[in-house]
Order: sequence, then C-alpha cells, then structure tokens
Amino acid sequence: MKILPLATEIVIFTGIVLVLIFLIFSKKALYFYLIAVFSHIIGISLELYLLKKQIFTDFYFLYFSQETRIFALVVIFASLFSLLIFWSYTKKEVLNKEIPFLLLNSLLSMILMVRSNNLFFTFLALEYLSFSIYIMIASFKRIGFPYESALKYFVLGSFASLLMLFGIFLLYLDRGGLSYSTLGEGGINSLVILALLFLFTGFAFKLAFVPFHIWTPDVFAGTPFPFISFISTVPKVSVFGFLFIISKKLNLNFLNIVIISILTMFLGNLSALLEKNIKKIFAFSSIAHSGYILLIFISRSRTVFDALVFYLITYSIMQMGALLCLQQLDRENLTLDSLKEKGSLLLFFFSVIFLLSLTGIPPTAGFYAKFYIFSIPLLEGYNFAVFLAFLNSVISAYYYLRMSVAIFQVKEKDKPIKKFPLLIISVLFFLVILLGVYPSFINILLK
Amino acid sequence: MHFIVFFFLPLVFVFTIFLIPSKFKKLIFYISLFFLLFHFIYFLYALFSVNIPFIYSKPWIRVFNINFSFYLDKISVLLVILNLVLFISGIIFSLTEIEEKVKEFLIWTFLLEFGINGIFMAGDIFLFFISWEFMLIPMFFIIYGWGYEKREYAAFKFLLYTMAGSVLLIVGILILIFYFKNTQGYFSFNIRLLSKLYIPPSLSGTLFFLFTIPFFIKVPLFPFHTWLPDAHTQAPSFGSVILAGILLKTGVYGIIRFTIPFFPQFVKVMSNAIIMLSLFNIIYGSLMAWVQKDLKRLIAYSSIGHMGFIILGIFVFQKEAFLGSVFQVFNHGITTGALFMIAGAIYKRTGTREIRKLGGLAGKIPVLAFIFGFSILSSIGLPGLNNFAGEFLILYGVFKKSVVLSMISVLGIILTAVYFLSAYRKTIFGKAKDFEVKDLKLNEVLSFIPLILLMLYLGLKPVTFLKNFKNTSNDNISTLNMIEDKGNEDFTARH
Repeated sequence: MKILPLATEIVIFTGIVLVLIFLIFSKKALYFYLIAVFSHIIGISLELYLLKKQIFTDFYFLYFSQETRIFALVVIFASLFSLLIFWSYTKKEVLNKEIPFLLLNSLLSMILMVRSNNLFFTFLALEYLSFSIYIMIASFKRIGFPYESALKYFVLGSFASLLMLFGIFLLYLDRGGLSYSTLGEGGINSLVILALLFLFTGFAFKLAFVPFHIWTPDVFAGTPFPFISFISTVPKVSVFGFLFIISKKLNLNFLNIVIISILTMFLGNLSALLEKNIKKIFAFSSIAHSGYILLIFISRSRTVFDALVFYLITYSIMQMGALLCLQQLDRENLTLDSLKEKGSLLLFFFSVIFLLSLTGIPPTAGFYAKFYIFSIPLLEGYNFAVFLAFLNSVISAYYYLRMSVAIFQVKEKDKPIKKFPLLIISVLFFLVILLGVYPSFINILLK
Repeated sequence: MHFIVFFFLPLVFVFTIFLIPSKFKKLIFYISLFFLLFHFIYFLYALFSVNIPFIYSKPWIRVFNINFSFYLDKISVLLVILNLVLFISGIIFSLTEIEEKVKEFLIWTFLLEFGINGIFMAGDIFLFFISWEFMLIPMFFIIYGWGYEKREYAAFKFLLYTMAGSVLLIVGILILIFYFKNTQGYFSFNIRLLSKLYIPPSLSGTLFFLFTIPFFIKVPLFPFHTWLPDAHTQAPSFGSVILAGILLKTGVYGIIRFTIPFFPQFVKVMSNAIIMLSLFNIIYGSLMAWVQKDLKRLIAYSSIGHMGFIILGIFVFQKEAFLGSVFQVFNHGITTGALFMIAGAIYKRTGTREIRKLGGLAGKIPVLAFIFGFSILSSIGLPGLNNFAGEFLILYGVFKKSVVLSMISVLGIILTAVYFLSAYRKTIFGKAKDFEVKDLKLNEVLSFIPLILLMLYLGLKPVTFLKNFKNTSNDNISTLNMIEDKGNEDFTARH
C-alpha cells in the first residue's frame, strides 16, 4: 500500500484521463462536469479519510502531513464550488466545454504545489497551474476582451516565473539542494536574502501584492464572473498554503512583510473606492484581502495555521457567494449604476450578507475570520499595524455597502433566480452564517 | 432561560415576516406590532421569573475561551425596556409614515432590535462588540432606504463614523484580552472578570482612549459629534427616534459598563477634561440648536446638549449626579423620541421642516400642537415632568462638587428653554401659513400616549423609579472609591 497516501492525486488524475477519453465519444458538457464533480467528491472523501487515519509520509517530492492534507482539502472544496459555479453559469456559449478538464488540471497542480517537498517541484506545479489558467482565460468567447487579458496575464506571469526561477537558482547556489529540509538548514546570508527576494517577488505577482498587483483589475475585467470567482479564491488558497509551508522553513521576516501588507491593503481598498466597474472593484478588494492575509506571516506561532485556514475558507466562501449573486443579474459589464436595474428581494438579502461578510461585520464569518487573523500580529506586538488593518475594513465598508445599496434600489423587483444557482448560494450562505456564529465548527471538522 | 428566548425571538419574527408576501402591507405592520407587544410582555414576564442581576453563560468559541453569556443588571433592564417602549411607539407611528417597502422596513426593524438588545444584555465583551457592530447595518439601511433627500450622504457618514469608532474598540478589546492572557494565563472575555483586572498605568492610558472614543462618538461628545445632525435630520421619524432614544444611550452604557470599571484610575485623572468637554457640549449644542432653521436639526442639536448633561453627571463622581444621569438616560429617550415623531408628523403634513416656512399650526392641528408643547416642556425640564427630576439630581451632584460648574451647566437649561420656546412660537403660533393640514390620525395619537404617560408619571413620582437604582449607583460609586486599593489587592484572592 505504498501509493495509498497518493490516492487523492490518483483519483483526480483519473478524472482528467476520463474526460479526455469521453471527448472522443461525446461533446456534451454535462458528462465532463459530472466526471469532474465526482472526482472532486471522491477526492474530498479520500482526503478526509487519510486525514482521520493520519497517514503522513514522504513520497519522493511529495510530503504528506496534517497541514498539507488540510490545505489540499480546502483547495478541493473551493475548486468544487468553483466548478459548480461554472456549471450554473447561464451564458453557456461563453464557456468552452473544456472548462471541467482545465479545472481538474489546475486542481491537480495546486494539490501537488501544497504537497511539494522540493522547491523545483513547486515551481513545476506552479507553471502547470499557470498554464491551465492561461488557456482558461483565452478560451472565453464573446465577452470583454479575453485575449488582451490572457496575454497580459501570460506576459506578467511568465515574468514572475522568471524571477522565481532565478531565486530558486540562487538558493541552489547557496544550499546545494532544493528540498525543503535542505533549505531549512544553515543561516541566512546575503545570497539567501537576494534569492528569497526574487522568490517572494514571483509569488507577489501571483498573489497580487503591491506593487506587483497591476495585472489583477485588467484580467478580472475581461473575463466572465465564474472565472473571477475561481481565480480570486482557489489559486490563492494554494499559493498561500505554499507560502505558509515555506515560511516555516525560511524566515521571511526580513522582507518587511508588515509594510508590504499594509501597502497592499491600502492601495487595494483606496483604488476600489474610485472604481465604478463591479469586476474591478472585486479585483481591488481581492488585492486588499491578500494584504490582510499576508499580515499573519510575521508570526511563527502555532495559531497561524488555524487562522490562515479559517480565513482562506471563509474568504473563498464569501467571495464566491457575492460573485455568484451578481452573476445572477445576467450582465457581464456591471457597473454600480447598472446594478440598480434588475433584482429580487431574495437576491438582495443574500448579496448583502456576503458583502457584509467581506466587510467583516458580525455575525457573519468574515468578522470572526478578521478577528482571528488580526489577533496574531497583535500578539507579536504590532498594535499599530492591526489598527491600520481594521481601519481598512472601514474603508472597504464604503464600497461594499455602495454595492449593496445599489442592489437595494432595484426597480424591477421580480427577477426570478434559477434553482441550481440558488441552491449553491443557499449552501454558501448557510456556511457563512454557520462559520460566523459557530467558528469552532472548522476545528471539530478537521480534528 | 426566558431571557435567551427573549434574545432570539426577533430572529423568529424576521423569519415569519420574510414568509409573508410583500403586498399585504397593513397585515405585516399589524403582525409586527403584535410581535413587539408580545416581546415586551415576554420581557416583563422573564424579568419577574429571575433575580436581577441575571447571569447566564455557555461556552461558545473555545479557541479564545469566548462564552455566550448574558449579564443583566438594573441599568441593562432599564435600557431594554426603553428600547422596547420606543420600538412600539415608533412602529405605531410609522404605520402611516412608511408606505413603501414595508416588508424590508420591518425586517430591518427587528434586526435592529435584536442588535440593540444584544448590546445591553451582553455579559461577554465579544457578544457586546458583535451586537455593537451588527446594529449599525439595520440602522444604515433604515436611514438609507426610508430617509429624506440627503439620505445617502447621511447614512454613509453615520456608518463610517461609527465603524471607525468600532475599530478603536476592537483593537482595545484585543489588547486588553492579550494582556489578560499574559498575566492570568488564560483567555477571558467576561466583563466582570476583566473589570477586576489590574491594568498598569502604562497600558491603561492607551486602552482608556481606545475604550472611550468609540463611546464618545456614539454619545456624541463635542469633537466627535458631526455625524449626528445629518443622520438625525435625514433619517425617517422611526430612525430618528431609535437613533436619539437608544443608539446614543449605547455610548453611555458603554462608559458605565466598560470605561469606568476597567480604568478607574485613569478615569479619575481624565475626569476634569471630560467634564469640561461635556460642559462645552451643553453650551455648544444649545447654541447650535438656537440657530438651526430645520426643525429636526434643532432637535438633533438639543440632543447633543442633553447628552452633555448625562456625561457630566457621570463624570463628576457624585452619587446623586450618577443617579440623575441614569434617570436622564431614560427621560431623554422618551422625550426626544416624542419630539422626533412630532417633527416627522409636521413634515408629513406640511412637506417642510424649515421653521421659517411653518407657522400658525395651532388652530389647524390642535392635538399635535398640544403634544408638541407638552414634549417641549418636558425637554426644558418643567417641574412635574420627567426631565426636571433627572436634571435636578445632576445639578445637585455638580453643585456639591463645584458651584461654578453648576452655574455654567444651569445655563444649558436656560438655553434649552430659549431655543425650544422660540421654535415653538414660530412653528405653532405666529402668522398662519396657508397649509391644508389634517390633525393627527388615531395611530399617531396612540403612539404618543405611552410616551406622554411616562413623562407625566416619572415627573410626578420619580421616587418609584429612583429607589430601584439606589444600589446600582452605590455599586458604581464604590468602584470609584476602591481605586486606591485596587492595585494592592491580589487579583486571584479577590476573585
């Protein structure tokens, strides 16, 4: 049973192969979605089983520990919801039939990335992920300007990969190996600092930290809603997971994370204030959320992991929920003014809850998530940084609530919502409230 | 157990209203009125079935050792009752004022009630903060959705101002909690446990400001008051009633519950500065009210002046003044609530709130004019009406501390008479403008009756009220007296 720990990866890989085989016989998207959903569900159950059995080992370049298993679980969960959102999208002509295939590929790459035990393998997984995303962006038809978005993302992403590769090379020069155990040994000299600087810059591109955030609004504006809810949540979970694992081996504190984080928050939120395009507002708000999460990396205490996982789960849920609600308006070029045209009371109710959760208003999960992650820098004595971070949620309250009141004013009240999206929204809504009023739920689930 | 049911009942109400189709406007109103009356009666029932102070606690979030706990002492009970009374009156009044989006309005109303009750009932600082933040959202939507012409500006100003205050509060709470953890070895959010903690002077300075400014924003005290006139003026009558009647009191409640017990030493150091600020508040609020052209704005500024009295009464640290402040919290809620409803009724009839454009209403709407006059006299502090007893007690306490202070603060009462009576003369008497106005409808008269009866009853027989609170004020005063020995005593020994 040497391959038992690998079960999840094998299931997802089988799913990819199955989709490819089915492509020969049928062109119906339904089958692809079904296969993808099933492989997600089997993957989740296997992962939970392996977590409960505590099967933690090394396997060549992969490393199975409790932490990597939980990260993988969160990634699969988020990816499953993202897949369902793609499935529920009404404008089918925009999406290619290969979306489930690409999503499965990106999922596999992300799981490999958080599980990786070797920096070079991580790099390969990241490239694999980026390629799935490049293809995905370029495959959207008749909407916005997907080719421009794809090209922008591709050029900047390649540049980020280049920087990362250079960083990895410098690290290799110093340590003589790239496995994480080798990286953890030895002190930090100027070469390592330079290497980490390059490496971190590469990841800052991927996670849109200031000043490497410029690509986000353009890419978001040119792509349909389901893709936005995918790219702003799922890859973020995996890349932050990787960042957490590497920060345990190598101390990133010298990078002045606090300053980057505060700058990211402020720039994200202040730019969102000026925007009228809903997609761009979400782009900037996702930048700000990256800033919030980055703040906890200044601590190396045990609670960082719990807080990070809680925040990533909550963030994925509320971001997807809010975007799914807006997706129901059947308009791709939404602005604050055009939000007022159609809607329903139910939709308003749901979207307000999700937007309030993104703001961080109790009793939604967003509040507790913020409370949790901001308590960590406070424990380290960064009182003022925490004050600024909370101040940022006030700034964000303005644009999030401006969106809610725009939906609040709708003239046509009786726009019906389709059953399938409504079901997903209800599940996400239930999770937001549940995690808000009973946050210990996550701990019970994972232990 | 009854209090837990009482606490969660509004959510049941919200759910019930959500299920009723929105075309049955009147039905929804009557049902929610029934719910509110039921809620009130249930509260009284719950009150008589337990001992006060009522304490309840259950584990909630284990990571931080947060409990879901209630702590109701007499001040909490008083404020919950005030809350319910104003909600009932306000909803009866709104029956004819709110005509659009009735269902949404009542949903927000019950959510607001839920949040406000949470503030007053919380025994755990986490639950307090959750309610404190949560309450803003329904209020924001009530101002935004049913307010007057500049409602968007006013709603966002109100929200962002108070949220900025909440930022200070949450940072303060976190610092305090981690200090507790570092010294005691475990987390606790329990208000009574935290208030027994000895906080060194180096920390208490920062914490004092973090815990006070949010409350001063809510009260509001002078430099933090600018959100209030806009929010009050632009809100619908119901929103103004709740804003002035309850939301300002949450700030006073926070000061009584947190600031004074947590940082008694620093409060003593800062008390003179705060007294000066509150005196300034009284004079400034009154003078600003004097020059207002808008009737609702005038009442809003008069609130600033009256709240200055309440803060003054708390920070002079005299038994009588403290008692007077607690009494005044209740009185001001009732009187200002009535005044805002009157302003709303006048606006609905004449289409204007500008004092200059009004006049000669007495002949056309005598009932409204009578109620307006009655409420104004109550607000001025006419002997025999409720405000007199409260303000007298505050002034008595201030006089015991310093003659000069009491002389300045009496000026506030005189100014109140000046601006209110002149406004009354201009709007109700004077040259009649050609308005086609009808007098109060039945539901509006009904909504004023409980408030007027309370004004009369509390004015004629304040003793029934005050004797309940004698001990409460003693407790708080003794908190102040034990400032000196707090540091010497071992924390665990006392606990």
